[in-house]
Amino acid sequence: MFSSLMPQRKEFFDLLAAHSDRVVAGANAALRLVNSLGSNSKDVEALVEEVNLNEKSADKIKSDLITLLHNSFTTPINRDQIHTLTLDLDNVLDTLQDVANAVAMYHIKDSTPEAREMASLSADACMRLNRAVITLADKKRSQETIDLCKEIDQIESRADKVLRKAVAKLFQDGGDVWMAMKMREFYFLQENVLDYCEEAAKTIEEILIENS
Amino acid sequence: MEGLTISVWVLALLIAVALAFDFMNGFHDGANSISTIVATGALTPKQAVLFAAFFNFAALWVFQLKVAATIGKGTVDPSFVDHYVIFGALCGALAWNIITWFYGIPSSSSHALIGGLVGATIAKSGSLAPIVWSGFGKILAFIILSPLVGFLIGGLLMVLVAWVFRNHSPRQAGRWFSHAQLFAAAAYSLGHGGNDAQKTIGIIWLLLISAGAATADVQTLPNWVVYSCYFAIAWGTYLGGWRIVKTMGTKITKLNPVSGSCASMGGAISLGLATLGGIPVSTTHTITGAIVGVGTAQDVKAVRWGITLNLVVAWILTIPASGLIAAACWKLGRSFLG
Repeated sequence: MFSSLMPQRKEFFDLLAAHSDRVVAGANAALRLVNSLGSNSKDVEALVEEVNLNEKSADKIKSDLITLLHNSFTTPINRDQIHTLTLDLDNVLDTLQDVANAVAMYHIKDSTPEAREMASLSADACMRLNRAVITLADKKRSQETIDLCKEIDQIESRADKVLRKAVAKLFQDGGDVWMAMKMREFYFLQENVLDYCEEAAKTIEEILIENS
Repeated sequence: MEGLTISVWVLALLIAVALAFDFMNGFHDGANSISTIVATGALTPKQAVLFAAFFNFAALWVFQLKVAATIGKGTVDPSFVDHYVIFGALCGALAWNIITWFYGIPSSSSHALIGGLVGATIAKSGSLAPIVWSGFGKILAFIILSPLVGFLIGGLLMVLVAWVFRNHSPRQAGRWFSHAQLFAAAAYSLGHGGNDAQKTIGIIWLLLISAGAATADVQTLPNWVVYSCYFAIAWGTYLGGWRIVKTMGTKITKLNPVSGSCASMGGAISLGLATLGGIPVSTTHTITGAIVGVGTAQDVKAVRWGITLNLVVAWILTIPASGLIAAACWKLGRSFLG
């Protein structure tokens, strides 16, 4: 009865939602980037920049959130869980940035169907992550949150399969070794994005279990 | 002065038992008020027990003897009471306290004392006639009300503190509260001493009335009774406060300087109000209510409800059980007490 009278501090959820908005924007930019490989190089540069900008703006949100954590008596969910979740979201954006910068670093000129599939899976996962963070603020929607986390998990499993298939294809006899080295690295960077999405989903599930 | 038929020795013995009861009360509860200040290092254990003992005694100068009056003349008709009744009441309360201590039930020694008094009186008169229902009814109502009031005040204080410190981390707030909790613990010790010492004063007063050494007028109550009762509870607190390892504070929910201060202050305000109103309440139950209130404000799941449920059992059992034992002791006392 007293807990509803306590300061609610909904701004933590607002900041987490804003943070996950940046994740979605970054993932979409990365998807467009991978899809536009092999066409216009101007577009590619602009899209790499877009991913970087989203990462930067997310860093700002993260630091605001941590400052707010230091200046709040009460938090709507556990202090360390808020911290863990914002670090997870930060990791997703960092890996998206790694993917975008790898394009220039490894001089990747053309994408592959597998790279496009991985990029689209990571955009799917990030979109669900965003919705899961938003629904987390509303206890009545916890079932929806749980379902979203499960979907993220499934998407990650699918990406694992795509990755194995893609790497196998690269190292088929008579393939281009140079290309295989580059793309192998690229695929693994793409897979990292999904791994961190899964981490974030796990954190959200833990929050739900503790507050159920 | 017919009443003076009892020997001085019996009178002295009963007063000694009453003071021992008072001492045990301090011994038992002393740790409650200081556990958080010791745990957070605001005071050393030695300083803390002296601190609590001092404020238990200082309640002497703060509160009027209204609680003593309720016990002494407001619970049962003093003209029915003789030394056998007092003997029965004290034995019943002591026996019930030992039983509940053995089984780990957080029973209230105050309720046991009142139950014993009522039980022994009924045994003597054979009817409910000597019970002063206005006083006894008030006591019964506050068995349930006092933890609820503690719960409300403790919880609301926690809410208030959360709003005042909403832009500070709990650690920053905790620094401020290392001082505030001294104040809260002092207030709680005052409330404890005020309410609990007066219960024994009331019993001794009743005994003196029955022996013809005093009347229902507070002026006739000798000062040494008041001083020795406050001294007994303070001394008990001093000696019992050392056992600070296991206290209500850690059993019900985790307390830090902030929530500990809110709980102590909530308990102190509730006890102070009861003492001003002349209502004998259970100090343990009141502080328990305050701790639960503070725990609920932070997180309902942080409260171990199993332990709080034991309270309800103690509410229902204490008065009838100690009353029954007291009635038996009254019979026993008649056969061998001069």
